[in-house]
Amino acid sequence: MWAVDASFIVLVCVIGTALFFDFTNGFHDTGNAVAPSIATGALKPRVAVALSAVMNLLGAFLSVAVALTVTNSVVKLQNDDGTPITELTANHGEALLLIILAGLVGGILWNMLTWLLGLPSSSSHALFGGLIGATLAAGQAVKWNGDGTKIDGVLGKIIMPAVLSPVIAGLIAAIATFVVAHLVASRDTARTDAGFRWGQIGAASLVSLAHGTNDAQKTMGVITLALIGYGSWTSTDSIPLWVKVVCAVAIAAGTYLGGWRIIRTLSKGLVDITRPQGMSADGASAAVILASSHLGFALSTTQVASGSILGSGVGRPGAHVRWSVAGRMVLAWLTTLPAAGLAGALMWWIGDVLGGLAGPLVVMALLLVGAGGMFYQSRHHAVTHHNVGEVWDGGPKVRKSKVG
Amino acid sequence: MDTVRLAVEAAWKVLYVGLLLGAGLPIMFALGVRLLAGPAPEGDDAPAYRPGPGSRLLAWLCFAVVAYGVLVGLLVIIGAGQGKVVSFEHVFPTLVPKG
Repeated sequence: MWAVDASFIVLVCVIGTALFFDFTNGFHDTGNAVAPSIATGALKPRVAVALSAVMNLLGAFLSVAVALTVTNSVVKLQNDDGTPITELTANHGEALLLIILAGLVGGILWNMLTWLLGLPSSSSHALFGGLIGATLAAGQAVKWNGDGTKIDGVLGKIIMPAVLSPVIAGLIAAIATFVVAHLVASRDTARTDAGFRWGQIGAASLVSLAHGTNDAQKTMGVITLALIGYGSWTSTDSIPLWVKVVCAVAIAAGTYLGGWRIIRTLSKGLVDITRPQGMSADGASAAVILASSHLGFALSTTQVASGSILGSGVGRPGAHVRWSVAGRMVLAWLTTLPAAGLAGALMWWIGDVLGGLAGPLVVMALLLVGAGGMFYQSRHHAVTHHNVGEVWDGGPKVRKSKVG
Repeated sequence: MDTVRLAVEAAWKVLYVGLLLGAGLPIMFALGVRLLAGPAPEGDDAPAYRPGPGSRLLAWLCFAVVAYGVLVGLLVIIGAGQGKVVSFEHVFPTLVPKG
C-alpha cells in the first residue's frame, strides 16, 4: 500500500510542477503580445496584462483537440498512438514520471533565470530542452532529426525555426514599419496615433489568443501523459476536463502577473517604440505566428515577437537599436536548449541516485529553493507596472530611487 | 539533410505569406488611418479636418480588408485548438480536418 501512496505523491509533484511551468510560461511570454502596446501607451500596463491574460484563458479553452504527442517530435517516450513506451510504465510509471518531473524542473529553472535577467527566451524551447536532457540522462532516445518526410526532430522543430523565425519576423516588421512611417509622415499625429492604438490592441489580442491555444496545450499534453503513465487515465484522444481548466487558469494567472522584467527589455531595451512602429511590429508578429501555425512550421512566439520589435527599429527612420541588448537576447536563445537540457539531466540524475520517493521530493525541493532564490533576488531591483516604462539606463534594472 | 531542406522550404512560404499579411495588413491599416487623418495642423487654431466622402469610403475599404485578415487569423487559432486547418478552397475560408 505504501508504494501506491509514494507514486501518487510523485504524480502530484509532477502535476504541480507542470502547472508551475505553465505559470512561468505565462509571465515569461506576456511581453511578446503587449510590450509594444505598453511602450507606446496604447494600453496602460495593468490593462495590457489583464487583456492578455483573458485572451490566454480563452485561447486555452479553445484547445478542444489536444495532441498528446506534443513531445514526440523531440523525445521518444511515447508510441505513435500517444501511450508511453512500455519500459517506462512499470510501477505506476515511476521512470516516466521522473523524466517528466526532471525535464519540467530544468525548463522552469531556465525560465526563471532568463526572467531574472530580463531576457525574452522561448518557453517552449526551455520545456523541450529540459525534457531532452532528462530523456538523455535516463538513457532513452532523443529524436535529433526527422526521417526526411516531414519537418521533425530537434533540428526541424527547434533549431531551424529558432534560426529562421527572428530573421523572417524582423524583415517583415522592418518593411512594414518603413512603409507605414512614410505613409503617415506628414499627417496629423494625434489622429493617426488614435487609429494605430486600435491596430495595436487588435494585434496584441490575436497574439495572446494564439499563445493561449498553443502553449497551454503543451502542458495539458504533458500532464495527461503523466496520468496515463501513472495509470489513472487511458484515453489517448481526449484529456480530463480538470486538466484543461487548471492549465488554462495557470497560464492566464502567469500572464496577469506580467513578467515586467522581460516586458521592460522588449518595450524599452531593444529600441524606443513609436505608435506606427508598434502597430507594424504587432501586426507582423500576429501574421507570422498565425501564418506559420497554418503552414505547419511552428515558430517560437518569443523569437517572432522579439524579431519583429527589432526589425521595426531597423525599419523606422531615425530609430536607435541597442544592439548590445539584442546580442544578449540572441545569446539567451542559443543557450536555452542546452542549458535547460543540462538542468533537466542533472535533476534526473539526482532523482535517480536518491531513488524511490526521496528522489522526486529532493528534486522538488531544489526547484523550490532555486525558484525562491531567484524570486528573492528579483526583489532587490524590482521591475513592476509602476516603473516598467522608465528610461532605459543600460540594463533591465531600474534605479532604486525611481521605484515607487 | 532533408529536414533542413523541408524547413527552409516551409520558411520561404512563411516569409511570402508573412510579407503579404504581416506587412500588407499593417500598411493597409495605415493607409486607412492616413486617409482619415488629414495633414499635420499648422497652428493651434487650424480648423478640424473633415475627410471627403471618397477618402472615407477608401479608408473603410482598407479597414474591411484588415478585418477580413483578422477573421482568417481567428479561424487559424480556433482551428489549431480543434486540430483543424483553414481551407481557402471555397473562396470563403472554412475549417477542415487536418491531413
